Formats: sequence, C-alpha cells, structure tokens
Amino acid sequence: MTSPALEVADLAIDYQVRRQWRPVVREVSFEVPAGGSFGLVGESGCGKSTVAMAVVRYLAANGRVSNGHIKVAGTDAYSLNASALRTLRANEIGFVYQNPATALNPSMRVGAQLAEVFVLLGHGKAEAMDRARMALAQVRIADPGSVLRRYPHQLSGGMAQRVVIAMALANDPSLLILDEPTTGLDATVEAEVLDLVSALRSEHNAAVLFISHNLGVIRKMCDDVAVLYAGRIAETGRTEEVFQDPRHPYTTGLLRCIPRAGAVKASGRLDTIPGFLPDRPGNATGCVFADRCGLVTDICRTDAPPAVGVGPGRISRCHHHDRAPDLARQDGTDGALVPAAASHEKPVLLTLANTSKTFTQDGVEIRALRDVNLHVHTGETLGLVGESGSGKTTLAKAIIGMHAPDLGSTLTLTGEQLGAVSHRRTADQIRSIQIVFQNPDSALNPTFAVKRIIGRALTRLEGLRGRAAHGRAVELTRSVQLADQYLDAKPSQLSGGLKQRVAIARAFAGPPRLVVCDEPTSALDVSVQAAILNLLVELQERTDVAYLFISHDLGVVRYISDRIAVLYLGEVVEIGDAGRVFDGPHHPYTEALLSAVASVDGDHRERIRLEGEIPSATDVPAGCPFHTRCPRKIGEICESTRPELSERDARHLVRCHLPDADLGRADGSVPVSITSRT
Amino acid sequence: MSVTNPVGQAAVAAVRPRRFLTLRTAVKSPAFIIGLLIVAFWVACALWGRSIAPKDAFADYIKTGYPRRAKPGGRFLMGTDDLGRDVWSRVIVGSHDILTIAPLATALGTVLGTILGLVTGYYRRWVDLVVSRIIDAFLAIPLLLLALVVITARGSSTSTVIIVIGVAFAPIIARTVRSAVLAQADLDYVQAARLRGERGYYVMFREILPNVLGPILVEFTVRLGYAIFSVVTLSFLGVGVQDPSADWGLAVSKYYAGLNPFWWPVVFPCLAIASLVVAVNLVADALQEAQS
Repeated sequence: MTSPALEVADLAIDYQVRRQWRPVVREVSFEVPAGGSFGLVGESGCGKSTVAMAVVRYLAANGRVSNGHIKVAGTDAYSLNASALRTLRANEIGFVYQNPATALNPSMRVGAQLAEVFVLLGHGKAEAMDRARMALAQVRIADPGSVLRRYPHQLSGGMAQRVVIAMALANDPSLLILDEPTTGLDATVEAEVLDLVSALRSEHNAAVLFISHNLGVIRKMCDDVAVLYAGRIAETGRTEEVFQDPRHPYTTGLLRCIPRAGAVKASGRLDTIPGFLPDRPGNATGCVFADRCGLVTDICRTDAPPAVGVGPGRISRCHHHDRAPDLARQDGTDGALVPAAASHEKPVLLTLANTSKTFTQDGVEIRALRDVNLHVHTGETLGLVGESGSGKTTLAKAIIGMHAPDLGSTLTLTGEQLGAVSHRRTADQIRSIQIVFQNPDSALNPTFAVKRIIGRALTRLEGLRGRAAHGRAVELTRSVQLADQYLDAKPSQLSGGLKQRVAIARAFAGPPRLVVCDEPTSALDVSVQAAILNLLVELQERTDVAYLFISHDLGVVRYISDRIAVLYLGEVVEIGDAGRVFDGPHHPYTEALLSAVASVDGDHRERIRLEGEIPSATDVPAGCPFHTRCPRKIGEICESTRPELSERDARHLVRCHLPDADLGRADGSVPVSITSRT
Repeated sequence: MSVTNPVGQAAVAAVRPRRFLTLRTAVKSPAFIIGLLIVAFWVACALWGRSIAPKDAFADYIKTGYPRRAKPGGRFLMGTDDLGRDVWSRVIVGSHDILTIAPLATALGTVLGTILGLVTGYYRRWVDLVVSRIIDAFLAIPLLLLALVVITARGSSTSTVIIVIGVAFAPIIARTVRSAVLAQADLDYVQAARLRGERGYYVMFREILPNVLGPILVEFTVRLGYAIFSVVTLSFLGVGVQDPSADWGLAVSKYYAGLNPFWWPVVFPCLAIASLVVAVNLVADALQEAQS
C-alpha cells in the first residue's frame, strides 16, 4: 500500500504576537491520497494558507507548529534536518503561489529561471534548457522558444502562472500545492489554468492540495474538501456532498451568500453571515462559530463540538449538524420587494455617444475605448463585464471624469453636456456622479476619522458645515448600517467590509444620481460581499440611484444588474436586459465568458474554449476584433468587416455577423438555467 | 424600510485598534533611547549651559587666576586652554550655537523641501519636469562652495548660515518627499478627493501631507546630522560662528595647529561633535527602521 501524498494529523499552529503565542490553527487533520485532490476553503483569516506553509515547513518566523504531525509521501516533514528537508521539498513538493508576477524573478529571463530548476535537479546546462522548453510545451505554451527568451513582465498573468506551474512540476512532485493560483486572473484565463492543472494532474499522477476562497473553483477541482473556519475544520468530506448537503451551518451560510442559480435582486436579498471572525479564536470556550451561528444553543457556548462522523468520510464539528440545512434564511426580504420595475421605461440619466479613449504611450496609440454608445436609466443598474483589458475601467473613468475621452465623444447627463474631466464639471454634475472604488483600503485616507471622511464630502458636495454636516454624517453612516461609534474610528480600525460601507456613505453624500461601482466587492469575502450587495440594492430602492456596476464575477453582475453591457477590446459587443444577455442567444464572447465560470453547483456543461488571450489594444484586429479568438468564426467576413451592433430582440443588441439562429444559446451553460437547490 | 439590520448591530463589537505608530515602535529600540539621551544632554547644555558649566567658560586667567594650558585631570577635567579657560565648561557652553543653527536650518530645509516635494509629486507633468530639473541643477552645486560664496558676499551671521544650509538642503528633502507623495497620489483616496472637486492645495496639504509625515520625520533627523556637520565645518573655516563663542568648530579651528602636545582644547570639542552626530544618527536609524 502506498502512503498518502500528504497526511496532516491534529495539526496546531501558533503565531507569536507581541511575545504571546496565539493559536491560529487547531485540530486540523486531513489526508490527500496519492494522486488525489483536496481543497481547503474558507474566508480570509481562516488559516488555509498557514496550513499550506506548514506543510512545506515554511511558516513565518513568528509561527510554530505546536502539535500534530505532517507527513509528505510518508516522511514526517518535521523530523528532518535542513538538507533532508531540502531534498524532500525538491523531490516531492511543487508549490504554486497566488501571484505569479512576484513568484518569478523579474530580472531573469524565463528560460534561465526555468533551466535553473533543472540544473538543481542534476541536469547539465544544455539539457536543462531543453527540459525547460519541454516543460513550457507541457503547460500548453504555444511558442516555448520565444517565451524562454522573455522576461516575466513581458508575460500576461495567465502565461506567467503557466510558467510557475511548469516550474512546480519540474521535479515531478508527488504533491502539488496550489495557493489561490487563479485569484488574480480573469474567468476565461482561470478556466484555462484550471483545465491545465486537471490535465497535468493526471499526466503526472500528482496529488493536489488546492487552496482557494472560491467555492466554485474548489468544486471544480477537488475530490474532497475541508471547510476551514477560524483555524479549525468546520466540515470535511467529498466535495460534491459537502456542497450539496452541507452539515455545518458555516458551510450552509457560505453557500447561501453567493449569488447564484440565477439569483436577481428582485427576487430577494442575499443571505449573509452576521458578525465577524473572532479576534482570538483560540481563547473561546465552546464552538468558535457560535457567535455568528443561527442554530446556536446553550451547549454551543460551553462545549466545543467534537468531530462527528456524519456519513462515509464526512466529518462535521457542529452540535447540530443534522439541522444545518434548516438554518434560517438570513435575508430581510422586507415583506414587500419593489416589483421588478422595467428600467428601460424610466427616464434616461446618462448617455454616452461615440465615446472613445485613446492613450498614447511612446508614440504608440492604445485604443482603450472605441465608439461606445450606451445609456443608463434613472434608478437602474447597468452591469459592465469583460476580461481585463476590455476597457471597463477606462469607461468608468471617462464617466466619472478621471480622464477626458477623445474629441468627438459626447457624454450627457439628463441632456446636459458633461465636462470632460471632473474639474470642468459643474457642482451639480460632480455631486450627481460619484464612485465606489474596488479597494477599500486605499479609498479612504488612513489619517482621517470616518466622520471627517464623510464630513468633508458633505462640505464639498452639499455645502454643509459644522453641526449640519455632523448630523447628516450620522444619518449617512446609519443608512449604510454603520454604528455611530465608528464615526470616530480611523480606517485602519475597520474591517474591509466596514471600510467599503464608509466609502459608499461618502459616495452618497451628494446625493448622487449615478454611482460608478468599480468591482466594489471583489476585495471582500463572500459573506461580506453579500452584505454590501444587499446594501447597494437597498440604497437604490430608497434613493432611485443608478449604478454602473463593474465586476468580473458574473453571478454578482447578474444579481444586481437590470441591464448588462459586455465589453471586448474597448467596444460593446452585447448589451441588453440582464436576463436576455445571460439566457442568450448571445454573442460568442459572452457565451465563452459565461461558460468559463466555475459554479458552486458543479458544471456538467461543455465549456466554450477561448484560444489565447485578449489581443493588445495597440493593435486591434481588423474586422470583428473578436475574430482571432472566436470559436464561432464564420470566415472571411469576420476578418474584413466590423459587424454592427444590431438589435436581436427587444432592447437586446449583439455585435456579430452570425444570424440569430446561429448565435449560441447557452442552454445548460449558464448559471441562471441551473435549477436552484435551496 | 430597513435602515438598520443585523449587520450593523453585530458590527458594533468589532472595533479592532490596529494603529501603527512609527514613534511607538521606535521608542522601544535601545539605539533610539541611547541616541535620544545623548541628544537630550546636549540640548540641556545648549539651553542652560552657563548654569550647568562648573566654571565660567569665558573669563580668562587674568580674571580667574587659573593656570593656562593646564593638562586634563584634577581641578580641570578637560584641562584649560591658552587663556586659562576651563575646556569642559567651554564644551558645555559651546553646544549652544550649533544646536540653534543646525535644527533651524534643517527645519527650514524640511519646510521648503516638503512644499517642493508635494508640488512636484502631486502635479507631475511639466511642473514636476521643470521643478525637478531645477532641483537637479541645484544639487550639482557643492554645499560648502555655495555657503562660502554666499557668506563671503553677505557677511557672516547666524541667520545667513541658517538660510544657506536650509536652502541647500531643501532639494534633497524635496526628492524624498516627492517619492513618498508619488506613492500616495496613486491611491484612490486622492482620486476621490479630486473627483469631489477639491483644489490642489487641499489635496496636497490636508489629504496627502499627513500620510507622508513619517518619511519627512526620518528625513529631518537624517538631515539634522548633516546640518551639524555643515555648521561645524563652516565654523572651522571661519565663516560660521564667530568669536567669542565657545562653539566646537571654532575651538577646533583655533587650536588644531598646536595639537601636539596641546591636544585637549581640540580633541574634547571633537568628541562632543562626534557624540552629537552619532546620537542624532542613532535616532534617525531607529526611526527609519520603524518606518519600513
């Protein structure tokens, strides 16, 4: 019998903070069989990366393993001396980090870096370079010769991650650890990288330890999963079973936070997990999740739940594991939801006509935005989707006035021409269009207290000062559901979700008529994301504000949007009511985007593969810009003639040469069409 | 309408102070404490030197009847100079001028440099291009040469020395501040300020400045060390502090020719200079460490 690729038993890890050892991981046990795949999933701070680092014995200097053992391919990693540990790492383990850009040495060519690995493994220099070439070919890089000669900054994110994977696989490891390997990547690229990992896994017969906060990715990649909460395993078992029939209220809550199965704002609020991760989980008596749990009873406060077998290979640490599926719904449907108002019947708020944006860098023109025509109605949400490089953010910046669009572009707000940049706009226009940034950490001035951040916006936008400003600031913080006490807090004292609430309050100081939301939840955990989305929807119902909502998460966009615009290489390739865009028939690019989503409900659908990456905006392909990657390309016409944005059915426009009948209808390939389980 | 919901309520419990203070971290390092103690000693000497000094630092042997050129030890810890003045007392009193001129000059340089750094870092484009080139040109002029020329032309006075050193330091400090400002100017909170129509002045001095105070403080202490050197050098060259001051640089310049065997009026002021510079650098290093 072969020993498992990884065996973690009763692992406990402490971190030393201010001379005190604090428990961060407790009683973590799991096993990855040879050739198997195991996922660690949980929100930030749950200890998943710490466990991964402990496996390779690479904890931070202030960390220690205080109990348990870790065996890699049958060898206890913690009984080895330095050189034996090196050998173990070199021969048995491959590690892929989250950010490929920092995992590669920026001053070395890819070839030299990759060959170095093979030299270390005992190959001669010339042979090492050959091996490097083969390794790149193995990770499906089309032109290994040219990639070998490039520097890391000349690679795209997806390409760089392939190189890192090639490196990790160089030693033919028995265990491959992937720590959030696709988190910074586009959905289309993510899908490709995940496919690659699956394929390589079977080729190398390597076991995989996969760490992610993304439940969909885990569902797709892993046979077994452990859900971590506050450094403990809440629940573990076969991935499919855990996700379909969770036996821990945390898992249940987590799964319900995700906007999926076609959830839309009109059908109800998203569930959230109230409360916060405990500050010092190790010191708690009873269940670490008790404070946030809807099923909590007295025993949860006093006794830590033991690991209970709840099925073959399934363990739950919950006193009430049998009741986990019955967890009360968190959503405040408020009884009466505003009926799904047809947003196109409302007056037009913002109109973009022939809007282009060309950057010039070193004499080269970058056409980031080309002839965009669209409008946003009062009180509606227009979702903006597309891969990075498609022009989403450029469009948002032009609307908000961060940079001037090209001459000939016309932006009007309720019929009035908008100044090109913010300081050319009237006070009313500035007040009317505000923004919520992606990263709440940098969006707030760290030296200002919350009341000053909001108060200043009130002074500038509404002309309020002194007591009036203070009173309004209190109202605003309450309207974003922040307790009054936070008015005196500095941003560093707030969690990411709370910071984002402050940023939203600031945007609503005006009050605005349009708020540009640039990936406002992508830096947040899913439970926090749900709360923020609920808040945005609520504010919209109350104030009839319009949103321009940018996100790469299609489930989120589907949930919050009334209409959706799909951007590719700076132009709108499809626009229409959210339901129509998602249900199809849609543009081949939309189809590819939708099918790339790794759904928590599992997917049994055929994925539309996109070849290669988004072309550079310096050299936009002639004809239809998508023809270089289009799986449904007709032929010559696509290369020569740029298709028009034509109306396919009511208010649904698609820019494609294909006739309606030939447009993909992603039956079974769209999250929306998957029947809801809950 | 639900204005508050469980999220807001639960949120109350979660104020987690995670304030990071440069000073608080620095204070814990022994280097910082030692440096600060030495600096504090010299500052005390500068403020109350005449009361601290055991003997009159300025009265010569005719008045006091002290022996001239007495060796260190016994009644005179550091000996007496050729006029019978107690060297130890003169070293104590001699800290006054340098600890007036150097900090004021550094402060002037820091204020000017901060303004330049904010403007170049925030406006970029042609403002940055023009101002930065002028700064570069300015940096090419050796400090001492500039000081000598200006002081010779204007005549030596404390204020001239302060202004010359301050102005000469401004471009160096401006560069440090500029790079710190550049990092801040890319952050979204600066964008947010612009997008609500804030003027440049407000964004630079109210929004950005508080966030670059750390690097500015470090730069101030580093520059202070250099300023002390510069002041001493100018005094040594005879264009800085003038007689009858007990200034250290002046003392060295007066007695260095007779170093052998009459070493004590030279070596002890030198040691004083060294101790002050080292102490200031200890503080600067500790602050820099805490910064990063």
